[in-house]
Amino acid sequence: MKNILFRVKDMNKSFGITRANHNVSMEIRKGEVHGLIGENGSGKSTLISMISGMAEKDSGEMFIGDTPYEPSSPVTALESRIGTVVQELGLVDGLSVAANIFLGRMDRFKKLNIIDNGALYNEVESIYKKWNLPRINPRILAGSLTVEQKKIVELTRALSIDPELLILDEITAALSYNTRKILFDIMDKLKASNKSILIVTHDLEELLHLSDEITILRDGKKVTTKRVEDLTESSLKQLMVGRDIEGDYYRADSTDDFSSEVVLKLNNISDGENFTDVTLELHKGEIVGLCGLSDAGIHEVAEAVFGVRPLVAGDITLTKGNRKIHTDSMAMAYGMGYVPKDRDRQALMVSDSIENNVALSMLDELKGPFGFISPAKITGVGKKVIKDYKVVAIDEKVALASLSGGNRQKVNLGRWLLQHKDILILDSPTRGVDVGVKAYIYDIMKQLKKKGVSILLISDELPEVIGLSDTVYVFKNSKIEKKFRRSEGLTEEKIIEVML
Amino acid sequence: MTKRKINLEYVLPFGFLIILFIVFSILNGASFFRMYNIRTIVDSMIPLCIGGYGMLFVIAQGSIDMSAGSNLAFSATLGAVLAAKHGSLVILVICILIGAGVGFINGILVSKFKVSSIMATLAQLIILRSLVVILSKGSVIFVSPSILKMNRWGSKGLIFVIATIVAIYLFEYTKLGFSARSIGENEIVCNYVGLKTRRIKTIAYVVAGAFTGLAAVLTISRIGGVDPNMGQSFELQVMLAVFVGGVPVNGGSKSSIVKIIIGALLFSILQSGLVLSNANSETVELIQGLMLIIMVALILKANKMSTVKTSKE
Repeated sequence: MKNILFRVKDMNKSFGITRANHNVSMEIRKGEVHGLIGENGSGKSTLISMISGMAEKDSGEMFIGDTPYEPSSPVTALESRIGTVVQELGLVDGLSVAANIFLGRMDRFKKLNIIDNGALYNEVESIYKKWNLPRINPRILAGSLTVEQKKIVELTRALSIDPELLILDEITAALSYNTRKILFDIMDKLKASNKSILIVTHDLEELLHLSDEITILRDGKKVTTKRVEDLTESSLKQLMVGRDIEGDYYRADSTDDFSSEVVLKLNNISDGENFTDVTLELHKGEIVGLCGLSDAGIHEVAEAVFGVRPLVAGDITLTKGNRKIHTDSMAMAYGMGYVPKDRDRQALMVSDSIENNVALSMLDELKGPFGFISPAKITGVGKKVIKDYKVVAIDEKVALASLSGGNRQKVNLGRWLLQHKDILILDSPTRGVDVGVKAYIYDIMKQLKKKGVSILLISDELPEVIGLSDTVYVFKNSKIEKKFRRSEGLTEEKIIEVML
Repeated sequence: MTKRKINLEYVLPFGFLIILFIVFSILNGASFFRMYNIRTIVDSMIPLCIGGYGMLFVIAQGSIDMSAGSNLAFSATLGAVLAAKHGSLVILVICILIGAGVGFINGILVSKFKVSSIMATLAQLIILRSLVVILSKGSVIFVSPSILKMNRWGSKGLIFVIATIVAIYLFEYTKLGFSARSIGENEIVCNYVGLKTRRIKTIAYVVAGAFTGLAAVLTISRIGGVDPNMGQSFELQVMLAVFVGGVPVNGGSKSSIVKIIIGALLFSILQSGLVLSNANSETVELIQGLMLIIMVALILKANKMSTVKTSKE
C-alpha cells in the first residue's frame, strides 16, 4: 500500500433511477499518470466530481494514503491538495482571473480585512512562472477570455496548491497544440516529484501515450484497470464499448478525390484581427481541412464563411447562384450548414427541447402560407433527427441538458444534415464526444462526401484532419502557410513542422 | 407513446385561478356573479391582456419594456392632437402606428446601439411622459364622441378577440415568435445559426408598441378623451399579470400567450373580489404584490424540481 497515493473504494452515486457510479474502486499510484476512460455517460465525470468535492457520494470510501478523505466542498479538496480542472467551465465570469484562481481562499491576502490586490497578482504571476504557464493577465475579467484561456486559468488554480493529485477532466480537447505541450511538461514535472495525475480524455492515442495505468468504466461500473503495456488502442475501444468496433475510423483511400467544380471560393479574405489574405477553394465532394495553433485564426475563418463574422477585405463567393457573402453582411449563408466550435455556447439552446433546437436552424423551410409554422412540423423534424441520427433520448420534447455530449452533437449535426445542405462547415465536430459517436460522425462525413457534399473541416486534432481531408491548409500567424494534398506520406510531423 | 409530465408552471397559475374563484364566490355570494361584476373583471382584464401580448414579444427575448405606460399616454395624446375631429377608426389606426413608431425607436436603441433594454425604455418612460404634458399643455383633450362607441361590448369584444388571435398567431406560430423565444433562450446561438437577431429584436419592440397603441385607443374610448396622467404605471400592472401568469422572467421558450390571459384574469378577479369584500385599494395592492412573489417563487421551485428529475450524470 505504500506506493498508493489515493484510492476510492466502492463508490456509489445515483441520479434518480440512473446509477452513475456503481461500486467503483480505483487506486492511483505515486508518481504515475492514471487514465480514466469510458463512453459518454459511463460515470467518469461523476466519479471526479465526488473526488473533487463538487458532488456528495451516496456511499463509499476515499483515502489519501491511509487517511480517510471526506471533502465537503471544492475548497476542502484544494486544502487536501487535490486540484481539479473540470470538464464544464468552472469560472465566475464577473471576477478577475486572479480572484478566480484564489476563489474561496482569499483570506491569506487580507490586510486589515481588505484584499491586497498587489500581493494577489504577484502570487498569480509567480505561479505562472513556476509552472511555465502562458501568462494571462490576472487583472482582467474571466468572462473576456477564450475557452482555451479559461482552461489555463483553471489549470493555474489547480496548480496553485502544489497538488499531490492533479485531476484533468477533458482538458486537452480545449487546448491547442502548443499549450498541450506545456501541459505535458507540467505532468512530467509532477511525476518526477512523486505526485500523481488522474486524466480523462476521449483521445485514445493520447491517453495511451500519457498514462501508466488505465481504468475503464462502462455504464457506471468499473470494467478493469490495466497497465498501459497490456493495452492497445483497439483493445481499449473494445473494453469501453463492450464489443468490437470496426478498425477503420478514417478514410481508406490515400489520394485526393473530388470533382473539379468549385462550390465555394474565399478570395483574399481578412477580418482585420484573426486572419489575413486567406484564399482557398472548396470543390464539390471535397473535404478541406484547416489546422493551426490556437491563435492561427482557423475558427474565425469558419465564422466568416458562414457570415457571422464581418470581413474587412476580400470576398466569399458561393458558386451556386453566384451569391456573394459581402464584407459586412452578417447574412445567413445560403445552402450552408454550420457546426460551430463551442457546442453548448454557440450551437445549442441547452435548456430548450430537441425539436426547438432542430427547428431553429430551418425556420424558413418550415414556413407555410402566411408564415405559419405548425407545431406538428416542428415535432416532425425533431422526431426525424432522433430517428435518422440515432439520438438517445426519451422523446423530442426533452431538454438538451438531459442528453450526453455525444447525443447533443448528433442533434447539432443532424439538424443540418436533414436539410441536405451542399456545403457543411464543421468546426471541431468530434470535440468532447466518445469513440462510438466519433466513429459515427466520421462515417457520416464519408457518406456525405460520396454524395457530393463539400465539407470545410476545422479541427485541433491532426489525425482527424489527416484522416479525412482531401486538402489540408496549415495556418500560421493568421495566414495560410502551406497547402498539402491527401497522400500516403502526409504525417502529423510534417504538419506540426509547418505550424510551429 | 410517451406520457408527458404535468407542466407545473401552467397548472400553478390555473389552480390559483380556480381557488380564487371559489374563495370569492363563497365570500361575496351572488354579487360575484352579477353581470356588473363580470363586466368589471373583463373591463380590467382586456387592457392588461393587450398590453401583455405586446410586452411578451419583448420579455420572451429576455428584454423588458418599461415605457409601455408612457407610450400609451403618448400615442393617445398625439393621436388625439392629430385626429381629434376624425372618426374612431382613424384614431385607432393612428394610435397603433404611433405606438409602433415609439416601439421602433426603442428597438433601434436596444438592438443597434446596444443600450440595455431597461435603461433605454426607462429613459423613454420619462421622455414620453414629458412630451405628453408638452403636447396636451397639461389638460384633458376631448375627441370626437364617436369614439365612445368603441367602448360598447360588441366592438370592444371584437377588438379583444382579433387582438388575441393576431397575438397568438404571431407569437406561437411564426418565425418572429419562435425567434423571439429562442433569443431568450440563447442569443449567441441564434446568431450562430444565421438568424438576424438585431432585426428580430427591433420588430419585437415594434409589435409591443403597436399593442400599446391599441391599448391607448381602448383607454380613450372608455373616458372619451385623453388625460395626461393616463397609463401611469400601466407597464407595472402588465408585467405583474405577465409574471403571475407564469412567464419566466428571462423569457425563453416557456413564454406563451395563454399564460398572459390566465395572469390577467387572475389579477382582475383578485381585484374585483377584494373590492367586493370591501377591501381598500392599499390592501388590494398589498395582496397583488404578495401573490406575485408567491407565484414566482412556486414556479421557480417547481421548475427546479423537474430539472433535477431529468438531469443525468
